[in-house]
Amino acid sequence: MPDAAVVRNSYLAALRAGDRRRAFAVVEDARGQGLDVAALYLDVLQQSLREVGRLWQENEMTVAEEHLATAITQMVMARVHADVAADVTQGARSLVAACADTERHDVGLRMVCDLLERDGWDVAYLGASVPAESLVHLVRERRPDAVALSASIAPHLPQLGTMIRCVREATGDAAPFILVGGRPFLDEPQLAHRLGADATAPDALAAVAILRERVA
Amino acid sequence: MSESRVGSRLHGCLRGFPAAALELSADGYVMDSNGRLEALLGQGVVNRPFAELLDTTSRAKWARLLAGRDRGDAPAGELWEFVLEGRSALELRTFAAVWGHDGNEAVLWLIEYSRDLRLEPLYEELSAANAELVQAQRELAKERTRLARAHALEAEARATAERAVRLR
Repeated sequence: MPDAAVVRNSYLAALRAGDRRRAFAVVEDARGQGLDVAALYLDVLQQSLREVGRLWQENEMTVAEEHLATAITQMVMARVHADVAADVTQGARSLVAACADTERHDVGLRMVCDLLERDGWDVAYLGASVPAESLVHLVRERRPDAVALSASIAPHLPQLGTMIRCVREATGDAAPFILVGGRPFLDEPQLAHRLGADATAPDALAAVAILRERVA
Repeated sequence: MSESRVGSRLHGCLRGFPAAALELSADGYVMDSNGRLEALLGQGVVNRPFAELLDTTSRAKWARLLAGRDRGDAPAGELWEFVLEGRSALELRTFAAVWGHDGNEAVLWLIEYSRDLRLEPLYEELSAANAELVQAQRELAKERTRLARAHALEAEARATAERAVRLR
């Protein structure tokens, strides 16, 4: 089993160089040595992207480089997706996932969805920048057991609050379990309840555990 | 700072510059502006701390820029990206930071790095194309897995049928 910290350093170096082929090779090598998908997601990919954000704060990386790092990471996740996807069993719990309107950072939410799919959930992923009406339309259509929403910065929280309110208004007593996540909730977890959500999770594994426990 | 000269410090060429040009005190107060930033943000900027114009995610970075002068490690014309709070949206802008002196006062000039607006739709399209490619790759991986499982089931069924025929 490879050391996740060593893999992360190599992966981060590839991201800083904007070298997607090197990034793919690092991940393929690590997976070949037995690195679990959850460990890859949380200890390598997510930590590397957080470090990229910190490097932007240090003025050592530009927004364009950050976008490229995110795009490379999305490609990496797509490449390992075959290992993640399980057959959805009949009667599986279902979830609809979306990022707040104007929110473009969707890697964290994507990780949650991939790990839920591995756990046998039926997941409908709407992606980044989702208008509230689109979310409500799909929730009415699919009647999911849970909804997962994401916002990475405080200015996107009002849109998240609107989405939560619209989902609850549209579903009434049959409202799905609403889980929220993103940087603002790491700093202040009680924000989740103030916005009208049922819970928040600090990372994708915790999200899976919470949903497994709280959604029948 | 010299209050008497607030609002009248920028050289003529910076006044006419097509992007934002600011002169600030060493502690980050805007002393003069060529008006472009006001037009972008929809608010006055002169006589205000530049930090007030920034999104919270950029304020620590701004403090780092200011501290760079004290540390003596501020390279001339280094580029800095900041997220500003615009009229209705956050605005990402890049500035060249140039430290200098006006008489005995240390001053900081922030000169906005002019963007080529023709590139922005291209970036949007590239980003959208990448997202579609990634999604297609995921769907392909899923279908490949389903196909492999279907083949395995079919092979098992065929083997069972052959065994049944031999037993007869």
